[in-house]
Amino acid sequence: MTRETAARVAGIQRRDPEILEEVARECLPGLLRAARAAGLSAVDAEDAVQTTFLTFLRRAEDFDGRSRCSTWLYGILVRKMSELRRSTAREEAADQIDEVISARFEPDGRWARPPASPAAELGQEEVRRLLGECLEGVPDRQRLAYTLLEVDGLSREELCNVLEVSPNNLGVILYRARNRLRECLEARGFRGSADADMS
Amino acid sequence: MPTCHEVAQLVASGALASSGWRQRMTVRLHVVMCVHCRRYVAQLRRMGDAVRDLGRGSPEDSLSAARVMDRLRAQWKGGAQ
Repeated sequence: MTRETAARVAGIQRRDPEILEEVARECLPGLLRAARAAGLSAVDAEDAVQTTFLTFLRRAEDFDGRSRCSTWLYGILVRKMSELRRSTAREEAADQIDEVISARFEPDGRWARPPASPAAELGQEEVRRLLGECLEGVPDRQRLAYTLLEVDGLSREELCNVLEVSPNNLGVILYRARNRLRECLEARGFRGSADADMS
Repeated sequence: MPTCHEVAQLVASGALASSGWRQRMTVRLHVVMCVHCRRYVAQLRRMGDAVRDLGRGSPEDSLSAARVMDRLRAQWKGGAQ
């Protein structure tokens, strides 16, 4: 769903407590996860999400339902976390991971150091632990973008709006996030399976 | 046919999803034939699955959501505008 129903938009605009409760119930887990992914502590994340909701309430009559209210809320949250905004300009600048990735390839574009071959598969708990560790090493903005995409299922268009970046810029952020995470996991023994289809 | 480096860029940046069918087809062909790229794509996919699994939330996350919910209810019952 990319649009809200007319009934829900009307309910939000008149601040109907039942509709607000429904919206909060739907959106709170994702917003808290996003705030944590952006590097906030649990306490700060709760505060940021509460403030986000109150801002949403204050501007409720401006909500026109053309985007999902979750997208609107993510946008408010990201603007609240001003340190993330300040880092926007740095996104195009060099990032250490770029060199790490480049070193993986020959000048002609073939793999110089291909991904490690499958070994004994790690258990699910082990993967969760390693992932938690490796996510900490990903810069806040990259981690936020990757989490919003993979866990919260935002579309690329929604992500560009929420993070206030161009599609190209989003591509750079995701490329760095995924490769940084993959490098870290690989160094700790994560292999994934050998086969993939492109569907 | 794209190179391995180009395949990695298209897949990891997500640009492949919004590219035309011709490009998607050549990438798919490359991946079918290239064991390294196949492995790379599989690892990114497995990583996404694992992040979703991790993001499903712990009991502490539910408590956190419940706390914010309580505070919000108090606000809009109090007529926050």
